[in-house]
Amino acid sequence: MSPLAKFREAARRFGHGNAWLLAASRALALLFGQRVRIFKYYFMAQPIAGMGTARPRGGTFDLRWVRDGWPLFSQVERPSSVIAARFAQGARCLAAVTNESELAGFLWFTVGPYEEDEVRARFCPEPVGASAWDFDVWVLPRYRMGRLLSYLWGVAGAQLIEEGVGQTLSRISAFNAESLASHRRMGGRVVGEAVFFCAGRWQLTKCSLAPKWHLSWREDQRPEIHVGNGGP
Amino acid sequence: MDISDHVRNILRDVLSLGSRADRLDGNSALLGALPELDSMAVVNVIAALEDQFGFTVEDDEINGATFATLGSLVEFVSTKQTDRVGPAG
Repeated sequence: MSPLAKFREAARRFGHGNAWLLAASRALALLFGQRVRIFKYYFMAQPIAGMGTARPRGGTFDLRWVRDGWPLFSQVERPSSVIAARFAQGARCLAAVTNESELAGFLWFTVGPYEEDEVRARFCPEPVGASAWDFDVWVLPRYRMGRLLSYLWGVAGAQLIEEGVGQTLSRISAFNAESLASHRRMGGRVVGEAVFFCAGRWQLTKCSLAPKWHLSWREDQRPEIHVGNGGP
Repeated sequence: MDISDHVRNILRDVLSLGSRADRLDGNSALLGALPELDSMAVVNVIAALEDQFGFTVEDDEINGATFATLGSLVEFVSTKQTDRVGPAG
């Protein structure tokens, strides 16, 4: 496919603005490798009620809440330091196991601020205490066309509703049209967006939500973005 | 109505395919070709198959290959129906 045809296809799938951003991101990656990158996220709010099936049937999947050091984490490509950092910030993980030995899927969330690990940012779900932030929802490929994802959301959702949490927020790449469409079909709606320009240790953030603009160059500097019920 | 038409109608209704469903034949790809058929929507398709054909689908019976094409899904339904009725004779 020619570059022009690729651009047209990207424009059809993501919109013209995002297609230009994706083209710029790829061009910069060619020139500078991983040192210069552009990320664009849409923030999505998803009502928890009605998501998934809270009562897994049969005995194929065993769903359990797991902690740091759980041995089956070694089956996925997540550095142990990343797993430890997630638990250290209060994240919870619901995992599905088959045959007592195979990690079939998991989902993660926090009920409170989440320190993003792809860019430097702290995402704060609002209203505080009534919203969760979900991330790294993963299912082993051979179980993706089955009920497992529904079970994970059903069980996690039932727990969250019991705690008074009615919606979950997440960031979806603007270049992942399938995930955006899937979230929309489940009742999700876009409540904001942000672009992160990363060059070495420099990071410029442009966001539809406060603080709108943010420039950082140190690891301990990051925008705190409050994501909730507002529109973009 | 044969099984193929019945399954096609289920896909049309559950995934809101409209007239696109009419163009599906046995060789038509489902997984990867129908954006509506994602890992959450598939649960509704399975539930509709169970409801309308009267069988139960266990979690370890289904995978991506089941939903590869309309033909593979129809074959799955046919096998389930045969299992439910039992061998003839």
